[in-house]
Amino acid sequence: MPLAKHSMILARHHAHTTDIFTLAATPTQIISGSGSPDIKVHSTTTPDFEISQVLKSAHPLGTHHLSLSANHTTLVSVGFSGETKIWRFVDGIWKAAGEIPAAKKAGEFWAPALSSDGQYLVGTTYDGRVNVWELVRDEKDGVKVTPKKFAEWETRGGFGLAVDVSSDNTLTATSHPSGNIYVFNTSTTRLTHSLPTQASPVRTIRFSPGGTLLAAAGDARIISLYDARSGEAVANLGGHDAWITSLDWSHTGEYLLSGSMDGKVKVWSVETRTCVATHSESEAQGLWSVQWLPKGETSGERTKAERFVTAGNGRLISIYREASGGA
Amino acid sequence: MDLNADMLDVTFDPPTPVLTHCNANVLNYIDSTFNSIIAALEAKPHEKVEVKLKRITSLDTSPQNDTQGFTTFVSRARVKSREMKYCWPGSTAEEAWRFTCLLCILSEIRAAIQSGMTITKRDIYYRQPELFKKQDTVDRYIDDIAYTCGVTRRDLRVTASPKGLIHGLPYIAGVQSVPSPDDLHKISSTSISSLRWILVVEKEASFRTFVENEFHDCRSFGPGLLVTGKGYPDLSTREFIRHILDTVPIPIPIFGLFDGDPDGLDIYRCYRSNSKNMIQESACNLPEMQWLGVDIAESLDDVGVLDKCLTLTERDRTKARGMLARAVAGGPREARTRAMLQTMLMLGKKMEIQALDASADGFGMCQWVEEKMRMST
Repeated sequence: MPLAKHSMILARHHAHTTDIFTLAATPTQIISGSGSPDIKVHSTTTPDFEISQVLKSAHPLGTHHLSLSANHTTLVSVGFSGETKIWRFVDGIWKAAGEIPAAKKAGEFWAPALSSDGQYLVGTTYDGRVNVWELVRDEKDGVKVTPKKFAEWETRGGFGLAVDVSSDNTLTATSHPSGNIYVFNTSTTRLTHSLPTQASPVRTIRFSPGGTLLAAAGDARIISLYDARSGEAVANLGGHDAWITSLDWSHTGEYLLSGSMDGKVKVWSVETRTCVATHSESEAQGLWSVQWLPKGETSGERTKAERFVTAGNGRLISIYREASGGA
Repeated sequence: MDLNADMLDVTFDPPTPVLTHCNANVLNYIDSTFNSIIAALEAKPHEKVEVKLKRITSLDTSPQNDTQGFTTFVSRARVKSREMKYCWPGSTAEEAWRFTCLLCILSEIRAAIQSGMTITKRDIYYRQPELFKKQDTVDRYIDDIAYTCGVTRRDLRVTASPKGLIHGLPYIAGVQSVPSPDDLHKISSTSISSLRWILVVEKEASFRTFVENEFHDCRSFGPGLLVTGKGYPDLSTREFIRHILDTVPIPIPIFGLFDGDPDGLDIYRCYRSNSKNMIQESACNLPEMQWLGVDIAESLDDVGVLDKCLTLTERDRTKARGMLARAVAGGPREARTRAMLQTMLMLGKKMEIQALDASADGFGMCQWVEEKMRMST
């Protein structure tokens, strides 16, 4: 599958440019968080990806993480000052729905993940704990939620760099600077596996759409695939020359997307375990986030070419599209 | 966002101080002095409050044989002192002024001990020169406070001399202390006319590496001056650099080399604009100082360098968050600092100057700095 760079650059993200640290994508939008206070929403249904909404001053010191529920109705953003905001997609726009205020300790809430229906929020901490909140809906108000602390788990892995929840919500995985990966059974809150990996930070961890595989990568420059249930190592994908910061599974689970600090983005075939495409950001800038663009539910949408989006300290959002009739 | 005060305070938080027994004695003395003042004011708001200090009136320093026949010098028994009372409100303006000076100095000492940062007598004077009027005022009280607490001046975390080091002044060979502010007028424009650049290095160890490599006699840039403030610079070091920059016949660039961590960035900020908001010290600011490095963001594709980077500690993160708030408040001119802090937090990593050095001899670091200076000029 040779991928052609869809020579589309969305425009400078902000008036005074800052790094883009995180992306989230719905079938119609790309949402970006950066070193500036605003979160921007770009429409993917218009030809020039125009900005359809700005979440003004969402995080005064910048946004380091965004996480979207699988049903695309709940968004969580985490700011550098430590505060976490919950947004809900109502009447075609994102509305502020709730907030978990900043704790005194820096890094008390670092990486977020939402359950597929957006009802539960998981957050990692600076000392390896994992906090779970229930986002309790306000019955009268169609938007507001109240975060209620639901559970707290312990890992001994130190800073929680990344977290993900499987699509059936049964498993939660966290990754740490020590290289350790912990997998919890969400319903029993039992630690099911502690996966010793490379002895270097694991910066990104993602369950496959079917929940059978777990992909993890970081400073070792290798993508490790595990059987999510047994914890067994399945494969290692080598080819990146720099720290890997971001992974994303395609909708069908056939392809894995990876981005690294030297500006390279790679597409991997999960079946053949080979890299099928590599692209480089023009200015060799580090990538912080890579994402597939989800397709809509209509059959017309389904047959469209795959697209993905990348962003990083090059301060641009780049959109790539699968070349038509690829060999 | 509601930025609470203690988050901003973190910006000035130096490495966790180690308190000696003597430091603790001084802290106790200062705290009990302030507490008794507050208690007295609360009990009898209209009465005088007073602080007592022992003042050394004479010192017999001639060698004397003690009972065992050994020669000893100053011992406590042979110091003559009398007790001084400082009152508020004073019966004269002079008395009130003395009381104010004393309390100001006590609070400076307390801050120095608590933060673990050594300050010079000159630093204290410059906090409020209109109040103290002359350096002597500060010096005398410092000695009295040390004597009253039964400790040395060092235990107050106050030093007499500048702590910075320099190498490369045309008429001085070898590594020297930064000249005392009172001697700066002796540095004439003609004596330093050969200087082409100044490099300020955060840490003494790295400074020594540049000295060993004779970096001040740089091939491509001509003679330069190496300076280190040994961490957070004192006032004398900044006064000295300011004087050189203002005295050289032709303007020369000044470069700074710091660790790529929250402290390095904070120390850089200290040189450019002073650490506390003291207007009196702004004459020593070095806003023209250019940041050479190190910046982890410039090495993101160099795994060799990245793998030498250290993990951010909890303290680093808290400090970085406080500094980030300041940098954001500082607007576009702090954009670089903001980006560096955000990158550090994202990566969870910090980079020390030494990471530049592939070999242990410092040659790689010198080459790197030379290249950076070339790109910056």
